[in-house]
Amino acid sequence: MILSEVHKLAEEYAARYNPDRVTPFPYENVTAVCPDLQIYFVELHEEDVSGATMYNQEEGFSVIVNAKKSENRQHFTLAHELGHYFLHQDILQKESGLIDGDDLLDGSKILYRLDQAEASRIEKEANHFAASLLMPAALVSEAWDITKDIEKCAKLFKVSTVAMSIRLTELGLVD
Amino acid sequence: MATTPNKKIALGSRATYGRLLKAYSKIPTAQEPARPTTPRQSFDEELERERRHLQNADLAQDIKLKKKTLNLLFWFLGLETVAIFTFALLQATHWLGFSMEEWSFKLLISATIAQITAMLFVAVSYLFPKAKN
Repeated sequence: MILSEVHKLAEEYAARYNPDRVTPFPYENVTAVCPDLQIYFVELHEEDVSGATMYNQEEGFSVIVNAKKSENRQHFTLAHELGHYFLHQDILQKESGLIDGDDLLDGSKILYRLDQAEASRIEKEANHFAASLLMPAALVSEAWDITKDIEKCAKLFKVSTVAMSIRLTELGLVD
Repeated sequence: MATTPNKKIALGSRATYGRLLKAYSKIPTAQEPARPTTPRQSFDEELERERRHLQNADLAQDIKLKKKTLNLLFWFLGLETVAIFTFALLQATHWLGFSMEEWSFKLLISATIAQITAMLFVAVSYLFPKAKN
């Protein structure tokens, strides 16, 4: 899937599951209509793991978020894992799950057993999905027009300043 | 539920990955799914609050600048008034041989009073601008 399609899809999901425009993203609206999906916040002991999406036939899909990470990181991880759920169900079913390493959200390291290119592709898609789901373009532009401040925007969307600056750059609002 | 307490894992290791996959697959049976605990905040309300905050900050900065400018202006006008009174006193007493042509003195006094009045008018208009419709 090309990244522009990923963004478009994520923006559609953001409008559908977050019609009241609240932060952090109301994942309960997703689980309410997707009975095969459950979300768990767990204090994982592996400090390099930020989250995972598991699959088995009985339970369906389970998103696990490492609750030891900062809240902003947890929000992004959850959105990233939802990206896997919406975009990569075939891979999740085939592999029984995907585990995302801490640095994975920055795209540098891979904790996954697919080949590197395939892993990079799906992680990139999940990251772009997460960015659009948490920070829809229209809302970011609106916030940027008023604040003109990366930290304030990040606080509004409850994401890290790094995630916000990447999104602002992507949208061409900052250099 | 977790496999290795607080341990850095070998990223990319197939064995580690398999072990974690097995461990994490037990989580759904071991605990209840999450319910939202973080309060949801309206983006629009937060943005409106931020907008008002910025407007207030702008206003506060504006008032601070005006206050500073007006303080300087009042000091300047005060000193000018003192100077003109001194001139008037010197002209009246001819102290230290001070003497100005009558017309020069009148011109100086009139011009200074006009200038002080004009500056006060400008300052007050700037401080209390007429509300726009």
